[in-house]
Amino acid sequence: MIRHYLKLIWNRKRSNLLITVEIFFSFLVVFAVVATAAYFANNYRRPLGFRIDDVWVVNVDAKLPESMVSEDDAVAVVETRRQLHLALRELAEVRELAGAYTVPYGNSRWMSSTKVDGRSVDYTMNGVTDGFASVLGLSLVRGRWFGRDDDAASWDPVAINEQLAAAIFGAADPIGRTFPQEEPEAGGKQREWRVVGVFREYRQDGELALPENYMMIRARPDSFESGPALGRLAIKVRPGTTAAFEERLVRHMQAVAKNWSFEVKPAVEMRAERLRNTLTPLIAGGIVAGFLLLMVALGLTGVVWQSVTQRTREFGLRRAKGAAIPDIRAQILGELLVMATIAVLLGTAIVVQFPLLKLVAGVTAGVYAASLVISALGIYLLILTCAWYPSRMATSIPPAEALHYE
Amino acid sequence: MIRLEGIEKVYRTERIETVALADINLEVREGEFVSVMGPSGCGKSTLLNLIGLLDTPTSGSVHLDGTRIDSYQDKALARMRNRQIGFVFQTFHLIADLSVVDNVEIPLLYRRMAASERRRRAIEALDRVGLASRVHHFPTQLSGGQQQRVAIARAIVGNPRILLADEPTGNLDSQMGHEIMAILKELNSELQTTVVMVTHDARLAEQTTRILRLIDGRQVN
Ligand SMILES: Nc1ncnc2c1ncn2[C@@H]1O[C@H](COP(=O)(O)OP(=O)(O)O)[C@@H](O)[C@H]1O
Ligand SMILES: [Mg+2]
Repeated sequence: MIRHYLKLIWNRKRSNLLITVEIFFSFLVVFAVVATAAYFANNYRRPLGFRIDDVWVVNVDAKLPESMVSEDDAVAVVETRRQLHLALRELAEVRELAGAYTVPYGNSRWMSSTKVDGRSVDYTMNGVTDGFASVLGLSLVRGRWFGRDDDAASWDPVAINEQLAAAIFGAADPIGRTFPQEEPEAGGKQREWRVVGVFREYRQDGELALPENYMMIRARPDSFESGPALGRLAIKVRPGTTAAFEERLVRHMQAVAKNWSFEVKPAVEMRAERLRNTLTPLIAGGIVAGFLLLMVALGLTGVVWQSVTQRTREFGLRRAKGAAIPDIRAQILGELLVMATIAVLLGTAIVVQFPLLKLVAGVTAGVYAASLVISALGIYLLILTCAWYPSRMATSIPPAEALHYE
Repeated sequence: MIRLEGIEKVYRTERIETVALADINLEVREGEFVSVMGPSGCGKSTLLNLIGLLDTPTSGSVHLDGTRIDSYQDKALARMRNRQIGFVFQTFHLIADLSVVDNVEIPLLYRRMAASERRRRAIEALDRVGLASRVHHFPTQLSGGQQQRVAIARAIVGNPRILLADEPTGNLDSQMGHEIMAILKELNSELQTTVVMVTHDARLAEQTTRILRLIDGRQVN
């Protein structure tokens, strides 16, 4: 019985090839759409690592000249910044405060890398003052945050996320361990980072971004070295603080730093902006994908419909020879499933080349596998749906009529 | 064996209503060779389709061995078509993408049977119609007469008690027509298969036990 059907499929290879190719391309399109959606869905469901409720962000512009900054200017900037931090703490609405090179949903990114056993590990880093973890509710899984105690330290304390810890130290406890900073200094002395804490996660670019290796280094508002880099403030305000506070906040800062300029924004607004910027092309892509899927569904329906309809007489003949209606339907679906399986296997063989070649960075094997399964199921479902109606048509008329179907 | 009582068949398409058969009462006894004659469009094919359970009458009843079968469900009808009836069509209705032997095996696919047994019986049936040497040919590689012989082999492969042939020689020249007729007569006389054959050819009809004449969907007595 099965041999008979396989023979039939093989002997009709030319027209069946058409259907198989159609299914194959449909599968690729469906896969591309599903994998993209799965990529973002997978990112979205992962822990973000920070909380932004009641967090306000201030963009601080110290109006430094474009060119070289004189030593005096630098000292002045650091002093002003120190006073600014002190002044902000006076406000009742300010619960906690931190300076940072960059903040969540901010547009700047500071990339670095280190060498571990000869292989290079890339990571994103941030320079932050001691209050940063508390402002953003970062959760520590090991060790401690850097703080006042590190003032006298001769080494550079850092906190890293779990992913970076695993990348550098594997399963070993990273606390107290060191790894080399990127560039040896001019004197040739290689400085090192020393891990004091490990935090769970910090996805700087937000909910849709891929998790990444992340490192926080300690910056001090009153230190010459890290001072100028602290262009942003993250402020945790008292719950229920209204937008009216924004103006008062700016006035308060302006009183300390007369020539600087400040731009205040609740972090939720930054997130909204960021999502908008990310989602706009995604939605456009989604609409295109929707149309593609529609075309695929219509194309497939057409092809399946035609192939089933064209064979109405064959089905009439089979019924005249003793096939019951379920036999015919099983044959139609069985043949299509064979072709779909060939197409899906072929598609899978092509699609699995992508992660192997690392053509799509950051799409994990899990996302890939899930997308493959979902796409395959989607294709099967689509085919079953496409075949259902014409196969009903082909068996709803009496055999005598089917035999004369034009 | 086959009994039709008060059969009426009306085709309704859009606005036209065609009465293809009216008030047909007919009995075919076991082992008979009945030919059905009449002008084109008089309802011969319709009658044969009703006997062959390929269609249902508008009113009236079809009985096989005293049991009324026209109201059976699809599954039971399929079983009857498969076990009791062999059907030969004017246009052969061979599946072009299957070899001769695969075509002949079709009725046996719908029975529980080992593939080797199916193959054996198919070759036996082909042998009976003189086509044992063409087993692996495809229908398009055969002449019209040979194709019709394949169709007969397919109709008899399941050892049906009734063979229904709708103008089996209609698309063939008279030489081939006589060959087909010889096969049908042999099946009737040797295996006691009951045969009902529609034909336009009076010389063929003369060779049968009984001629049934239709005109405008009615029997002529
Ligand atoms: N499926 C059908 N739908 C509508 N009319 C039909 C159908 N089949 C046959 N007829 C009509 O019924 C009448 C009898 O047809 P048929 O039994 O094929 O005649 P015959 O075989 O004697 O030439 C004809 O008028 C034909 O046009
Ligand atoms: Mg006819």
